[in-house]
Amino acid sequence: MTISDTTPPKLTHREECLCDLETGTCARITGCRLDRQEGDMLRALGLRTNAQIQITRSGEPCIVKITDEAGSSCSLGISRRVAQMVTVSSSDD
Amino acid sequence: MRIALLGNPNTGKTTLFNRLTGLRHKTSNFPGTTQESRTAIIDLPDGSAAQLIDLPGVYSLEIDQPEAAVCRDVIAGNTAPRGEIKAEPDALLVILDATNLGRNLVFLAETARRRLPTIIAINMIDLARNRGLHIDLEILTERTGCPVVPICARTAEGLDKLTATLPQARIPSTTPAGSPAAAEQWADEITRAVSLAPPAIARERFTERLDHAFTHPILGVFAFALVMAGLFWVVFKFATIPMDLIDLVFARLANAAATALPEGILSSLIADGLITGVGATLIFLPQILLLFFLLSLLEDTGYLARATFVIDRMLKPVGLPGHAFVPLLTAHACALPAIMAARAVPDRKQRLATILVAPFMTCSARLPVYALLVTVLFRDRPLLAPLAFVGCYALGIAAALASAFFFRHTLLRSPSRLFMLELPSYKLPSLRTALMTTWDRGLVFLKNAGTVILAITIILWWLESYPISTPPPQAESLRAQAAQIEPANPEQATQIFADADRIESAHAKANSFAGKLGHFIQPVFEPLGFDWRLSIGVFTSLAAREVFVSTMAVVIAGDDDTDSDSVLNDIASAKRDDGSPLFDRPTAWSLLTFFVLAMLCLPTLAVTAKESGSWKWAALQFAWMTAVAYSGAFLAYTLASLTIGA
Repeated sequence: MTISDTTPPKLTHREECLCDLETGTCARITGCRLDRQEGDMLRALGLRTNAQIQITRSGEPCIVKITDEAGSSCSLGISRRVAQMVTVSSSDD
Repeated sequence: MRIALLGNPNTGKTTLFNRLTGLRHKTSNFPGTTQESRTAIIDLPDGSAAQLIDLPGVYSLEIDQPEAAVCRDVIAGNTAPRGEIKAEPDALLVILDATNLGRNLVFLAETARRRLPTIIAINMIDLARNRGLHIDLEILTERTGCPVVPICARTAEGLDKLTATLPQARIPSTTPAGSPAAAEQWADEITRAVSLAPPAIARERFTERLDHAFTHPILGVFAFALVMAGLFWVVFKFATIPMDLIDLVFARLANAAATALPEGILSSLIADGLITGVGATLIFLPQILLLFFLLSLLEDTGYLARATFVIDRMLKPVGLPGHAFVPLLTAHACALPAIMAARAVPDRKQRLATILVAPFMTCSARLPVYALLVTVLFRDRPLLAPLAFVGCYALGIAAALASAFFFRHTLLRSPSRLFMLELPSYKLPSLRTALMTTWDRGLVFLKNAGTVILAITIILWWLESYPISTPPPQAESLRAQAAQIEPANPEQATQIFADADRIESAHAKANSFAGKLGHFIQPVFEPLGFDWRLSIGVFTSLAAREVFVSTMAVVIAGDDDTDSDSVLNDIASAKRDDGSPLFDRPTAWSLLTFFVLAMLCLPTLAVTAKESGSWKWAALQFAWMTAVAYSGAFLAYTLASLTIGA
């Protein structure tokens, strides 16, 4: 999607895989299909349903910035195999 | 009062523990695990004392990981550090990162469920202030029902108040329900109520730019290579002075002991066995301490996590995680601390693979052997010598990675643990924490040197010193000749006496148990071009690789002065029993390859057994490395014989 400088950004939401997001994309976590042990670890690290994230480096591995309810953030490095198992609702805002 | 210190990794827990306890802490393990525990008694301002137990940093108490299991067991009173009585702690000191309160409060929700008196320390309050992050401590106290103390463990800000508050620990007033979602909801509500962060600020963008560079597939590797080159330059440059000093002190101690004690078994045991043997191991202590100090500083800055991220890409094809790079790097100084550092690898099979292959890396003890053999090989082409050194390092690394690949696809086959790693904030490192970590690692190394290494040293001394053989006729006749000419020509007599001593030393070594074993195993090494003297050298280097050089000096030149040019010349020009050169080119290549790849360090095997929990892994390590070294040396010998000849 191309956005011209004069057009206000159009907000779109769609379900996709975390691994498909480009650098700079913001999204919200909607689900995770990892097995229990790995899923629990990811959740403990803060990558949980409804978490607000931004991709700061795409690729293998990628870096995800997680922002909490107060606006503080932390960064996680995750492998493509993990990113493939996480679904997000992304927005182009 | 027993207080358990809990928190997420990277929250400054270790820094806080070090600040509160100084050097008074005791390091041990939790029984049945390789999880390290540290405990200390601290004095409180009211005159009472409290025992502080530092628990492993975990992201959650509920996850299926050994560290979390230890935390759960300690809190429940089901386990205690070795030597301590099992009992539920009287209070929990939970440390939270002020710059990442949302996730840390989920952890607090888990500890709150334990219904134990709790004190909350909000660490890195200085960073939060710098970022314009506001935390309402009164609301946090009100919502949790526990005392909250803002601190900066790095600068000791707020620590007096924290220690004064410890006796006032309170059971949390609210407890979230048992599900993870309930804990998250509890944490989110409190986060919204107590904390407010400004929009992304310049500092955050700077952090992202740094991350962009340090984790870049090319730039990141370049930065990593630069940092590691700098680290090793510092280690090898600055450790030399204390290493020389240790060498000198132990040489003098051995001399003093030999002079003070009556000649005999006891004198030989103390001077040649204990003092020289322990000195040969302790000489590496400065390198180890410096390496741990610098790695601790690097870890504290937040850079090591980025390096792990970059290296994970490189190690993944051989089945090792990014965490394995610190142990593999450390092994370039000494395999003993490297194997201990493998505790950082979370997955057991990956940890075992790391332990098994770490000794392939070129440690400092190999360098004297490389120097001798490279000198022999390139006497006429000195410019090629540095290339040969680089080749040795590269061969060790290649063998380690290939072996890791082999183990991870056979015995230690398992799906690799999925890579997920927190990239902590960049911050100024704590000098104090680095010094404390160094102190701890140094103590562990000294404990090994004082027990296992000491025992190995004594056994090998005995094998090399016994049975005591009678002086050979040639030495006796030289002494008789020297005695005759001594009045007229004392200088020449001294020279002849020295020659006689050298012949006697070489004879004694050749006829010792070690020498006999060397003779016995020589047929095994025949295909590699080794004669009986080289076989003895290989056997004695089991104590430590560098012993090979002094053994060669004694067996060939009868003099253990390995710094002497004449002794080195004698070694380089030594002849076999049939008159052909001992160090022909194929043999020198074969021996060099063997020393790059072989497991010639019994103390390393002892540490492998301890860290892996079984001698079975140590035996496998020895067998595998010996097989690889033998095959490699045979290949080198055959190829060199076919291409360059003798």
